[in-house]
Amino acid sequence: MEKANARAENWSGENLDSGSLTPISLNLLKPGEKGRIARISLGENTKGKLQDMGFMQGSLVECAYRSPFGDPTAYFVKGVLIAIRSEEAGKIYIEKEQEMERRQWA
Amino acid sequence: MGLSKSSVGMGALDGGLAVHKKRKDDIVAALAGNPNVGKSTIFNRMTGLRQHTGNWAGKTVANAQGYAFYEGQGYVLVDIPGCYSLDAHSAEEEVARDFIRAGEYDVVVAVCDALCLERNMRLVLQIMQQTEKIVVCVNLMDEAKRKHISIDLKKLEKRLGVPVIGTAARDGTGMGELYLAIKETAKIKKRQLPEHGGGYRHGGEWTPEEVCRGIVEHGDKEYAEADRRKDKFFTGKITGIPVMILLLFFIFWLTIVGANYPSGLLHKFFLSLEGKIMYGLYCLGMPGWVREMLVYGMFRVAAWVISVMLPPMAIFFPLFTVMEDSGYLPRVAFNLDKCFKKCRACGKQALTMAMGFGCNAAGVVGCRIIDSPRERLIAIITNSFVPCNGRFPPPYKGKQNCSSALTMKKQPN
Repeated sequence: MEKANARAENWSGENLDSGSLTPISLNLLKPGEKGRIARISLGENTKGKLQDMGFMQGSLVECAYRSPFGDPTAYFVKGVLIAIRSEEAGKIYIEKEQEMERRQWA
Repeated sequence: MGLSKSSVGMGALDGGLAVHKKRKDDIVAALAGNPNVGKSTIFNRMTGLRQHTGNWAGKTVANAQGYAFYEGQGYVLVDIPGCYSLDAHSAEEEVARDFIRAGEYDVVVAVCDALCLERNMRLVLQIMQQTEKIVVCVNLMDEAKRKHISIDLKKLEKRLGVPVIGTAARDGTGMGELYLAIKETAKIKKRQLPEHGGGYRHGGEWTPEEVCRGIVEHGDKEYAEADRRKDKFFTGKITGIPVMILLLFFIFWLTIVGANYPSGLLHKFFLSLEGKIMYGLYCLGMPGWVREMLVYGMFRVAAWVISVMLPPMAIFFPLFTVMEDSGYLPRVAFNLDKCFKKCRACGKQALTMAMGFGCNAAGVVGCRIIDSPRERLIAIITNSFVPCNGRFPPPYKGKQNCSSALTMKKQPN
């Protein structure tokens, strides 16, 4: 349900630059896939915290793996592993990287 | 993080802290940096103190200070809680921000993690906007070397225009240079920062990405792969949970059953002393009621408490430290977050509850790592349901010398 909502929001989305790629929410990324952060629609506090940890606009994010029960997912951002719950990840929008070449991460 | 009055007492978080100099020419150096970069390890290394360290973010929650003496110069070191930036989002970050803004120091040592320099650079740049008296300390160089990450410290120094020291606080590499850099920086009145084009623009808009460009070199990717495989094993869908249960079960089995033997030995030893002490006191000519009070009252109770509580602690705490230092505990939190979420709590509670097995007070203080106030309150209230070492249930019914302080009262004299 949440995923559907996220999509709907995207279609109606305001000023989404880049014509070819439509931002999708981060929790739709599968392990191993990558994307660049387009925008974060979370409250100021959470957003600030995420930005401090490297979730900036334009940062490259790689979905690393999900927890055994499937909920928090670990993401690689700037060489660091950060786990985010799906509620928050659902409100971070990314542009998926088409080419799957493996970038370096530490 | 010690359980001292200054760290947990009334007003531990609101007052900031008063810096105590021993001599007038002592240099006050504040250790700032992201969480989990080894600030406390550097602090301990320099001051010889024993602040609690651990491999997870949010270990240090209040300012601590210590004194170091190196080559004729005294240093007052202040260990600030870790923060990702100076725009505070939590109580600890506020402590850090207020301390840096207040400027009651001579030098700020910005501690960075060599493994993720770029993320750390955000805070470094923010601190540089506050003060020019900064030394950048790139810690965990040993770890970076192990993972084949090379960092061009000279280039970084040139770009930032401030001293950059590479250290490995665990074995003490680079600490001498760090002292010297602090001393040099404290003397400087105003630093000439490189102009635009050459390096960092003071108060400018350099992004961490721009600063780090071309400085960090990743070597073999194989090492990162190995790390990832380990993570996959410890948090995998199939292996994650069974491995966690087995590991935790093993630790508790070792603590509870293993502690029984030294417990019994200690108990026997103390019991054998009882008669001798009694006889000694008799020879001193003490009246019977004094002897009984001293031996059956004070000595026996103290002996019982020691023989029951010391062995499990001596086994559990080292094991817990291994789990902490290896970074396994955050993985447990990651594995269990969904279960905790169902209880409207936070996965990090797994960490504070594990601490609670050692000591509830430490566990409750540790709850500060949880961001959401509601989840934090749940963690604090439920922490007391975790049986600490002194309250472990007895492993075998009716067996004497079991490692439980609660059963102590039921024992016949």
